[in-house]
Amino acid sequence: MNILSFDTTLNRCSVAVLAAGQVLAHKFQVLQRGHAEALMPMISDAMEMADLTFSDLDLIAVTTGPGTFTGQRVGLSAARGIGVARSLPVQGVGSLSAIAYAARNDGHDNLGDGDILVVLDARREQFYVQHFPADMPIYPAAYLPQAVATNELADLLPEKTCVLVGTGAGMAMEMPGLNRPGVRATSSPPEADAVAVAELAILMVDRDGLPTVPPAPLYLRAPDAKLPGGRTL
Amino acid sequence: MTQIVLGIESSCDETAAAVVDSERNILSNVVLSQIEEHAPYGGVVPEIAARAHIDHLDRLIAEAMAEARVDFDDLDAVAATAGPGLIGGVMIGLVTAKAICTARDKPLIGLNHLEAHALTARLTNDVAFPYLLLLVSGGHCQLVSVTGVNQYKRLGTTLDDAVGEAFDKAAKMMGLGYPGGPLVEIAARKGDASRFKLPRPMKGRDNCDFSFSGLKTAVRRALDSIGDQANDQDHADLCASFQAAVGDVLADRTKRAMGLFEEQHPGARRLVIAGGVAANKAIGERLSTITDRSGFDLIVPPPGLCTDNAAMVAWAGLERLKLGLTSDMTISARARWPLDSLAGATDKPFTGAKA
Repeated sequence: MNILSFDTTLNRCSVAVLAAGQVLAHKFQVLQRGHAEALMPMISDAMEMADLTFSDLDLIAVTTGPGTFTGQRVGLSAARGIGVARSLPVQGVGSLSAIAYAARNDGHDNLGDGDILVVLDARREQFYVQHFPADMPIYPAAYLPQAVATNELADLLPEKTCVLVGTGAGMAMEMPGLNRPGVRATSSPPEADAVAVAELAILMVDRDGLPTVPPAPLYLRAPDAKLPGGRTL
Repeated sequence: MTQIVLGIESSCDETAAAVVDSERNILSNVVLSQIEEHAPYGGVVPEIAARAHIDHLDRLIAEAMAEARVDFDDLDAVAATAGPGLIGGVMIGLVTAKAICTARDKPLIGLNHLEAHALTARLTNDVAFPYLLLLVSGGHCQLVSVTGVNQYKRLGTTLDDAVGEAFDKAAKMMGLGYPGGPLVEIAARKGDASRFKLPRPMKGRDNCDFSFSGLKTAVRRALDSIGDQANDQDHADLCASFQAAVGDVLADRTKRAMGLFEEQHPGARRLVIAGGVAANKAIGERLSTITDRSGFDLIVPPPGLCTDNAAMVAWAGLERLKLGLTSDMTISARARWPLDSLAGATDKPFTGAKA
């Protein structure tokens, strides 16, 4: 299966092309803004590097979030645009799952028998959090991602040893109840990468078959909108 | 040879895709309105708009292509609105267009939304350059001299609210619902336009600019003067009075611009009205009184092509494609993008003028 994958949900922009599970091309850059401008040239470069054309592809894989709303929609617009133009299925992958998958598999850190708690800094005194128990697969995930108040993170902490990964991991260690034996932050990459996105997509397709509807963004937050009188829906 | 372009529009609260060819055939024109999503808020909420665009755009494109019986390989280019507009939505349409172009190796045309409105009359009525354009919508109110593709000179613009915005706000004050423009027009049909004495802001001024905030305040005062017991007839009278005031202001400002335009382009007596407010029949009739008197042709595209749509985007794409004016894959979505900056002029900051 030939896969084009990418991620634009946070402060990176990454693209990968995989064939039969092997990485043929992998490009990434640190990018706080400008994903909408950088992504397409990176995709073209990666396809050229992999020596594949769009008609050779079998699947597009993309992160659905959580992340920045704009970043999520840049990635999904691109994936769904290629999908419609080439009649290709698009597999959505959770950004927290992709981070956990890399932490468990890329060998940056020996996680031992620790659970993985992916923690993203969601601003506004919130974290986006997802718990991956050590004895469970990354997909299907044991728990859903959720948004929690920063000072309530301890409530989600597993009893046993636990490794924190993600852009909020360092900040999380400062929160009440976190600084206890068995809890540590990891050196694994704190953001999703396109290679992990593609590898997770393969697992998902193997288990569930090719997706038949395109993925939607996973926001974990309602839009900022006030009804007349300051109420919210 | 006939060329075919797919157009994509997502700059406000309509998600749209259309296929148009260079023989002026609209092969498909799909528009999904988000009115229901925004109605509870009494106006367009940018984040809600962006969420709706991403959920539907690819499906609408597939529908537009299927309805046109065109394959992606048959396209000569993909055109998308690149601004001005709500940036989250614009970005979705533009990135989607970039993706299709990359996946199918087609040229991209990132368009100014106002240019798409400005050129619509050439799709529907084959209007020759040059012409005077009155662009009236929920986001814009301006008079533009159109001398060619990519050649626009703004003669005047609003200093505060856009004219469609004024309609929406008046409707909101009267509790008529959202979007207000069409509701005000309907209510006004049963109203007495002479009952409320409303101002005609900017009328007679030595320029072609507009202002509607004073008129809005006057509507508020008129409502206050009726008190809590305002009935449907009161609202109808106020709507009629408001609409007449807007019509008078547009007529006065446009008449002035017609004079300027004719000085520069003798014999080119063509006035095109475009944008959502051009769908208002009473406004069109009011403007026809000045064009009739001065021998100008008045051209108004059909209502469905005055409000936001993607056929106009596809057409403007065809016009630019013919001149080789395509875009790079790194083109950015822009929230603000004055039309006459296309030809090189730039807006001075803080002049109070809106794009």
